[in-house]
Amino acid sequence: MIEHLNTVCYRFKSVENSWTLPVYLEHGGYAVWKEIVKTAPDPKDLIEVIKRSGLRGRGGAGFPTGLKWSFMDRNAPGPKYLICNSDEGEPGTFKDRQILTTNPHQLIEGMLIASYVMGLDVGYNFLRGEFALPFQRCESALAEARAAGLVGASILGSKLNIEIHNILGAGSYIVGEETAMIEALEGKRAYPRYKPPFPAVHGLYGQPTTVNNTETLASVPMILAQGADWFSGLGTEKSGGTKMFSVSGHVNNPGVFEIPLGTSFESLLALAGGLQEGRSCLVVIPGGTSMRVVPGAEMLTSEMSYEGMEAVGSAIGSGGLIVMDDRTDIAQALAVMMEFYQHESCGQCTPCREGSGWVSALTARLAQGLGKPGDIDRLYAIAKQIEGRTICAFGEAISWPVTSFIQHFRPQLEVGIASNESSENCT
Amino acid sequence: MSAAVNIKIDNQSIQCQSGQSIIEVADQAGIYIPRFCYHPKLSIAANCRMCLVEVQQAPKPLPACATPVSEGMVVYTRSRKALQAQQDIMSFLLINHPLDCPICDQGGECDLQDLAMAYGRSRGEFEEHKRAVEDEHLGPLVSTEMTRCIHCTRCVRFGEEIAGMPELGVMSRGGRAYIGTYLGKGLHSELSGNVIDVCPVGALTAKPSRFKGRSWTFKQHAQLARHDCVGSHVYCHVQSHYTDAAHTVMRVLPRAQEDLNEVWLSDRDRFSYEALQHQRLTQPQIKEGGQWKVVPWNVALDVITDRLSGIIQTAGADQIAGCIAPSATVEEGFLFQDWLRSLGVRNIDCRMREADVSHDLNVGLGPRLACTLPEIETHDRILLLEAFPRRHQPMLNHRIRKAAQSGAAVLSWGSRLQDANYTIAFNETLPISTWAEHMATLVKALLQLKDDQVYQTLSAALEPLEVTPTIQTLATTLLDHQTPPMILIGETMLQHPDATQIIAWAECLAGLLSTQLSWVTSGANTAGLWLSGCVPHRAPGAVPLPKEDIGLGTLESFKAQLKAYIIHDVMPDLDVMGSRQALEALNQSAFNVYVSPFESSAARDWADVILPCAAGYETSGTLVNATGTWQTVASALAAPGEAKPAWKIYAALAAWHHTETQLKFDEVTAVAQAVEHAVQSAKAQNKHDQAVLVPEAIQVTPPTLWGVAYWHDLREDTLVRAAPALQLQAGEDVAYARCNTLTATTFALNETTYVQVKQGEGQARFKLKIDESIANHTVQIPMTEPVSASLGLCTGPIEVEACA
Ligand SMILES: Cc1cc2nc3c(=O)[nH]c(=O)nc-3n(C[C@H](O)[C@H](O)[C@H](O)COP(=O)(O)O)c2cc1C
Ligand code: SF4
Ligand code: FES
Repeated sequence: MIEHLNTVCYRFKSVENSWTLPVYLEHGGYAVWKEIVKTAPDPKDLIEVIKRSGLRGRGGAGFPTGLKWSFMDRNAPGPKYLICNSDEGEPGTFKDRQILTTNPHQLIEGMLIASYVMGLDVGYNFLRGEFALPFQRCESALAEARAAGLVGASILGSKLNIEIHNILGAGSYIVGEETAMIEALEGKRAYPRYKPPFPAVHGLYGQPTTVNNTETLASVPMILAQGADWFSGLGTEKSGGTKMFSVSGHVNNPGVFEIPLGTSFESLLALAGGLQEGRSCLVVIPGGTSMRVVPGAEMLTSEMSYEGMEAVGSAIGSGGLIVMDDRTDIAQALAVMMEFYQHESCGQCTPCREGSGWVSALTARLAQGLGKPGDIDRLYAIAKQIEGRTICAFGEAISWPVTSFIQHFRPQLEVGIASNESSENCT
Repeated sequence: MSAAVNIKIDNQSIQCQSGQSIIEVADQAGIYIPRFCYHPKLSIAANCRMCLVEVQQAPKPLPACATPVSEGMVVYTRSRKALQAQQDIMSFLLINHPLDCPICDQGGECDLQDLAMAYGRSRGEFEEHKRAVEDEHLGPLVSTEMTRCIHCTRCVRFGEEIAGMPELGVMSRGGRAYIGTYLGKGLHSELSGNVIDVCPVGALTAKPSRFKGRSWTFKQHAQLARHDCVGSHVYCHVQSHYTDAAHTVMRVLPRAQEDLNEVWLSDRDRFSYEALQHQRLTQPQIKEGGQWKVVPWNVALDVITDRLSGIIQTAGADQIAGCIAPSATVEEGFLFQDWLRSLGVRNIDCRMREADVSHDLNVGLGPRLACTLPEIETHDRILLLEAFPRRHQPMLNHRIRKAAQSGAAVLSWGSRLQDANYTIAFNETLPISTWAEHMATLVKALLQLKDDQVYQTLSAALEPLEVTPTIQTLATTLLDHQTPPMILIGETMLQHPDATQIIAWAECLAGLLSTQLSWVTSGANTAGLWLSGCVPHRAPGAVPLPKEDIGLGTLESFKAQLKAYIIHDVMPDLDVMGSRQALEALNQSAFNVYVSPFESSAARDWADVILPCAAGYETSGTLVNATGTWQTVASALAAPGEAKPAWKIYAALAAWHHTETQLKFDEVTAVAQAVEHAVQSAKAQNKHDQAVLVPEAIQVTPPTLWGVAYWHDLREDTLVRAAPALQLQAGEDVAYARCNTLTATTFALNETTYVQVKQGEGQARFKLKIDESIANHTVQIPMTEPVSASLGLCTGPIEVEACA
């Protein structure tokens, strides 16, 4: 049994009506926010707390949240914005929807606190287009919070004004990229922007903007309520706190589990009901398909933490963990992923637009057993040509699965070459 | 604030400004970095990734177009890492691009082709099916071959940022992304042809010249655009490589001139060259017994000399008038008037559409802008009075648009709403008949807001006028300025029968706002022709003539029904205000000469001698634009057949008449010098002093139904009318008379029947479009429709009724 299972964002997993204001208040909700409104603490102190807690971005890149917040210039003229990234498009990831449906008030409280800390005027919670129920829950929670004077103009009678809006997207993967989301909010195509300038300087409508993942923001009230040490103590020295993993694939009990960072993969796998009878773990994608894959054997000796995943050449990413057992057709798995990426590339920049289609065509050929000699080397080379040359990290999202699959599973892929001629090793 | 920054590119130390991008700095230093999406006049998209360079300490190669320089930056544009990245991008660009340059219109001048030679690998690795993209019909000017598109989005950004008309966009996503209009109705921006230039590949090419020649067989000549008062710089590409005989202009491209057209060109200036091959007159001809007969030049000149001498002897030189198109060159104009004045003719004019010219005594060096084009951008208030520059002076409009985008309030008042590609802060109409009253009321509103000693004396004259809230708003906005407002008087205002009064009040307005009036003039060279002596009250140098030497203006001379008319490059049935009066005069006169590059069926009726002359690019000459800039160019090619440059024709006619064996000017360059000299010496003697117009008290009368004459920008002069693709682009829309619902209801007009317009003795039937942008009590009349030739002064009172 794992201690501190589902204690931060997913603490209401089995609490009835947890998305309503009375229930949230019953569990101590908005206490932190009310305290902040009343005592107006120095924002710098709050950033310190977040820094000490070890909270890192849960959207994929794992950027330290306190540090990100400290980049914002409170005194910059004009309105400043917060964007909560609830697009949750990364394949294998379905944890933010649990927060949005079971715990919307904690997210709102997190957004309010973040806005206070950075001196922001408006927060947009951008939900993916398919999130009908989560959107409904967020809307009603926002209405309740507004009615209770917690959100809006002169919050709780103070001079604080913070507006929050829920926005439903139009459906695309790329809009999850933070600058694409900013463009979309401005009413344009979801095209990622070239950085610099970074959103903290030139974001929504050209104003300073911070984008954070849903889980990141929803963690904040608990950190302030229980203290930085409590939170960081839940995890390892380098990975503070807990992380939600959405486990899917060849497991008996797929689902979302919020576990302390540092928990062994084995325990997480056990939580998810383990593998099917008689199967072994061939490969695991630990943090959404954009992360490098890890051979099952290596995973089984690893712990679920930023450093643990780094040690096996991958990353926690979004926490979308996919388990594949020994029945998996590696070429097919890769082809399915690449089909997704070529479909979702925004088409703006050359390497991604052209490369994603090419990679997808080659992997599809391999999966059908119609590969040609040299295809695997070519695939590897193309992936490398994309990586690091694109506007946004989508380029890496195509490249990393390809190169890591080839690194670890070259023989399995070579099966797909029609003449079965092995090509020279380039890895 | 930009600070000096020191960087190194390819080991070369360069000082530059912070805020510049690596590519800008490299360009200035002459270091070429390959690029597709970067365009110095468009926003940065950084999407092609061709400009990736190595920057020391950066983990990844960075796009030079989007990376700002910083102190101590060390850049390598051709290091192994940079080249590797550039070559990789090139291979991605080529996988889906058809590699069939020999059958592509862009071949030979394609950025992709050039850069593929430098960065492409010699063997392809891509064995899949290439992407194919359906072409979209974009209209008669721009051809598409969208399979060739490399998604740089320059055309999209051009539409959004320069044309102010986002007609092209990216549809779909990823490898399926393509450029299109979505609506499928073609391009309509007056600047649409520029997408051909910004497109680095053969996806968007010029339809009229497509597949007609290869760029390396063209000879490039610097020339000037001939349609508006900007004088945009162009390159004229003439096919000349293989045959000497077939010298034809293959296409026209913008020639960069930062102070005028920047790097852009209007469609009218770009595609009107097609006219050079259509409807051309190629031989001198005379009418004998009602039959046209081709004759040698000397015979034609003899006939003209004899007939004019006869008329002068029997009736006097005042029975002769000369009308010259406002796009004629300084040389043509000077020699035209020099010849006629040497015969004693005083009735000489280049103003074809002015109904009331008495205000013209007033304008010193002639009508022009009060500032340069770049200076337009510095204004914070721009008032457009009956001025519609968007389609008529697109590059002037471009500057106003830039001003609007940097915060200027553009205020428009006229007989129709401004259809602008930028925000108009004040966009109001007024019945065209009420201009004088409205202008005076605006002066009154200003006087109420601003204490002014000089103009206070006008108060009595303004007594009966009532300042409406709309006019109050306009006055308030105008006064709330940082820099003196720009006031632009449109050429339509000059067509007004009350022009003198309107302008007198406009002068007061300018005085109250401490600014000067700016004029947009018709044609390419109204300013130059004023200086060449082609107005009845000015000698060359714009020297005012004594009263007794002042002749008649165009309209007056037609009304006077003289005995002979010399018409240069004007079609009186289509080009002049009062075409009815013109045709009546020409039909009753004894002798008419038509000098023009273009055939005219009407001229075949009224003319006695037709002389073919060189058109536009076929002649060397000087144009003076509305900012007073003199620009001289050499001819790009010879005129077809027997046609001769008009300046030579008039020089010869002068010599012929005075039986001189030598031409007074046989070098074209000497002519412009003579005119410029005349201007300088007149200036030195202060001969250009302006007389002040005195505004008169205004009688308030309720508005009555007036027509407003309308020359469509793509039908406006002889050159553009003969250009087939532009005529297709102009479409059906140009044929309609237009009025708003109120007018239509009042006179029981509708779109299903025709409208019969009666003007004076004349009447004409038009199709009607209900158009809410037209002012009350106003009907816009398309002067470029042949039926309108029977109408007189269309800006003025008319009667209308529905007819079948
Ligand atoms: C292609 C792409 C898709 C992304 N999709 C998401 C997403 O669905 N949800 C998310 O939170 N972050 C997503 N991100 C990451 C965001 O750009 C951003 O880094 C994140 O929202 C920052 O929040 P955090 O610091 O709290 O993690 C995506 C990034 C890329 C490159
Ligand atoms: S990397 Fe792909 S998704 Fe990102 S901007 Fe480029 S084309 Fe769009
Ligand atoms: S020119 Fe820099 S990315 Fe296209």
